[in-house]
Amino acid sequence: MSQADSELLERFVRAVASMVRLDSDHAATILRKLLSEKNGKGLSDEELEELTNIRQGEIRRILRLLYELRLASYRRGKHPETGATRYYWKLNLHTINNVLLSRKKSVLRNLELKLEYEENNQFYYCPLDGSRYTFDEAYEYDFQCPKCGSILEEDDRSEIKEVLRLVISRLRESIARDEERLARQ
Amino acid sequence: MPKVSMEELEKTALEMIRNSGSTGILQSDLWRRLGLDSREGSRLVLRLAKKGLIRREQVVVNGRRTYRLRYTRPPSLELKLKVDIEDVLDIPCFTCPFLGQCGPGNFNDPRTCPILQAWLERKARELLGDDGKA
Repeated sequence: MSQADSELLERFVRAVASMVRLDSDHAATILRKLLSEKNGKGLSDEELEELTNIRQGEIRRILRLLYELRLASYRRGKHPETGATRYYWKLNLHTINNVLLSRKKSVLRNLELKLEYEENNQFYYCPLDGSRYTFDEAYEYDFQCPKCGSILEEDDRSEIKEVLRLVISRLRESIARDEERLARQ
Repeated sequence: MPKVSMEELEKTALEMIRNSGSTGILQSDLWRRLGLDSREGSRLVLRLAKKGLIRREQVVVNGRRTYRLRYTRPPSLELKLKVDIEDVLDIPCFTCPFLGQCGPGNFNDPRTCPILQAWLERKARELLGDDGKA
């Protein structure tokens, strides 16, 4: 269970890291180091550098990303010998489920907004470059693509809406199951 | 009662509560065994509860309201996912670093997001066959 859990979390962190152009292997390494830290004290960026041989600047960017995702937090501490201020990082293991659940809910809200937008608008698209415009935008451009000048065609695809409805209903069910599991703990 | 430090007292109290197992212990019994009055006793119990070491459950004993105290296990250092993320990892919003700032009218807007649109078009082709324009 836990092995599969850490792999799933790693896939998530890798995906987000690559979206912000961080090395996803390095991000996964940092995550694993934080996961394996068992004494509850946390690891400082210096200790992480020693453990992984990743540059400190990059380690800090990765830690900042984990912080923004609310997966990790830090505490201010002192270096045991020099007394200099150090930040010790650890994963928020007790809140991680709620963080991920609220993320899923945000995704659901996004998809619902998108579906509403698709249902309430008429779209036109450029057959050459595929760019998409609402009726109002297309009207303003005289139904010509503002980039290449080709005549815009009506986009009457209903598949996007079908996909959205399917994904939304699955996500709703999944969130309901998650909430049930969390309530039982 | 001999003077003992707060920490020492908390430790002894916690030990007693832990030994009481799943039935727990009434807080008045705990105070009596520790030789504390209700003022000191309730403060001690509240401190332990605040640290998340014990749970308090209100009960009525002999017509008086009191609390039954039970030990809670310290938070685990193991990762246990109770939220299923396997099926949402595929949706670009879930792994988007801008999810928190994304909303109607914002710079990142789910209604016009090109990444979401591209994913939906790909998904539509996968799920419903390639009979649309695309």
